[in-house]
Amino acid sequence: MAKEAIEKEVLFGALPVLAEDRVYGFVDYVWLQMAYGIASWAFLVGGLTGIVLPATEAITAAIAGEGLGLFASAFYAVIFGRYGADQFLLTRAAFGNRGGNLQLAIWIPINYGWIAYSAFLFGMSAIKLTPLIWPQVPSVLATVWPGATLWAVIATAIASYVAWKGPIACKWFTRVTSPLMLIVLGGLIYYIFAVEGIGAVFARQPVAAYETRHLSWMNAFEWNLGLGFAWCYYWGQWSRLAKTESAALHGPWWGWGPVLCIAVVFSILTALIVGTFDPTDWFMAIGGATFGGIGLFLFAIANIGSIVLLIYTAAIPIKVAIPRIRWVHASVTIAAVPAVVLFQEVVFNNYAVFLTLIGCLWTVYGAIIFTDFFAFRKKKGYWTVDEIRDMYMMGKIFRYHKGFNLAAWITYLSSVIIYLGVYNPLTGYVGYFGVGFPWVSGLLLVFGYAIALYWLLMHLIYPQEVKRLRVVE
Amino acid sequence: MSEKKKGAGFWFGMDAETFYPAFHAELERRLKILDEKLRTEGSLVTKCPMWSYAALAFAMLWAIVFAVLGYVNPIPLWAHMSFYGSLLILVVLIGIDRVRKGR
Repeated sequence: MAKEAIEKEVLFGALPVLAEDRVYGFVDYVWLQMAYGIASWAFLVGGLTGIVLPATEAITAAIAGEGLGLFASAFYAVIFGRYGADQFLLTRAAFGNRGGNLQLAIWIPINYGWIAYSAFLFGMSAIKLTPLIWPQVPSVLATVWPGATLWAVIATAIASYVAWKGPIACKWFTRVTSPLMLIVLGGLIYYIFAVEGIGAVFARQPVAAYETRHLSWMNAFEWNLGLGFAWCYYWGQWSRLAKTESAALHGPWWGWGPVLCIAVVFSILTALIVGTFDPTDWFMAIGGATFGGIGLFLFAIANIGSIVLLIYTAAIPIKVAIPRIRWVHASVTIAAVPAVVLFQEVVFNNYAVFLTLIGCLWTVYGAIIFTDFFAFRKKKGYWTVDEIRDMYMMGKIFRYHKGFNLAAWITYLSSVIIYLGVYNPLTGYVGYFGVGFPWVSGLLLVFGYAIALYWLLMHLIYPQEVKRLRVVE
Repeated sequence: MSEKKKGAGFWFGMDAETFYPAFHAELERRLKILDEKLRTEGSLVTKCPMWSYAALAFAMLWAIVFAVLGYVNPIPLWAHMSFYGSLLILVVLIGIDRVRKGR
């Protein structure tokens, strides 16, 4: 392969990324993860939390939820950085060769969901912004349907182009969009402290609280936990490009941790003032036409940054699964285009359901990977080069049962059943067991359950494999 | 595999016979470097210092504290204030560490 083709395969493809090929340092990572998380998810989850809880309690629900979810999986960053390997390649160790690919097939539609929220937020911003700039705008561009959907498609097209250009383009794009996001956040902070007054905000009551404070807190905790655990699927695609293990760990730690929490907290406070969870309603309500319009514009652009990163993140594992596929198909045709079907108001209005119902899938995935990496593989120094090769070649070592690790898949499926028994994501009340939520968090329960069950099943179904992993050569 | 399936077309950038031998050769070269690096340094890049994990432990601890306090309610003001205070101390310590190392 020519040198250029190899470079392309490294940054745009499946090959392990060596030290000299790495392009992201600590600061780049922080920008990157801010662009990822704040523009859409942090503002939306903060908005949801702020309409069910008063400030003091909402802040604890956010920090506890984001923190427990994120930091339970943060160790992965180091592992992917160490091997320069993609997330879904090393997933094959836990789920089996084919099982890893099945996980990818489950995750790609989930990623469409994330793209849909960012893109639709761009669309909602655009339909509110366009009439300010162009008062005679045709109604087709200024209504939720089809206006917001059309704008969302345009945002995705722009983002696909940047993602198609690759990780260096992503780096420069996020260096522009993340500061825009900080300006928006700074505007909200200024408004809350200087105009509204922090005491007044803390005295406000939520507009859509549940019957009891405990039920409200537990639901808010569940949503934030859903977002915190969501990162489980997103470590490897970026950590493989980190210049040091420390950068791989600290970039996401700060970007998805404290910085994201600051954004969530100020979203909570803004939602308490404005009384709606939709961030695109906040800017006009607190800033008027001029400042609100500027805020909305910056917010819309920042959301494109989020879509860029989501598309690139999905394209890499697609290249791992099908190395020969053209980059344009990995990054545009498969990773981005099908998401368009989700650009609808009904999806947008059900963000809480997405974080919990679908969130259960990524929480259990995270628990299984966590147990596999740290309970079984760590003692042996994670993987040998032969094992890494075997994962690439879909060889015998991680074949388990016809390519599927039964211990992982039984755990995965049974955890979903347990989760729906404990918590009903559609209603926010207890699930079909009739007992569990709100006395216990559904996601936290299944995270613990999955760890215990996977550990047990590995010993029962694959005792030879467990024995092999105990012996340090 | 039929000729049509093997060849470069709409979906694939190169035909399989050109792509895979070169891909596997480059993979082997990289795995060899990975092997060497894992044996000598334990990682392809500079390893994570132990204190980095302390930052994780710190955050985890506060997440647990807030989860417990939020669950039992009411949340005392000291919990909020000491969280922000300790986060600030962590930022200062990391800043000092980075300045000391000239980064």
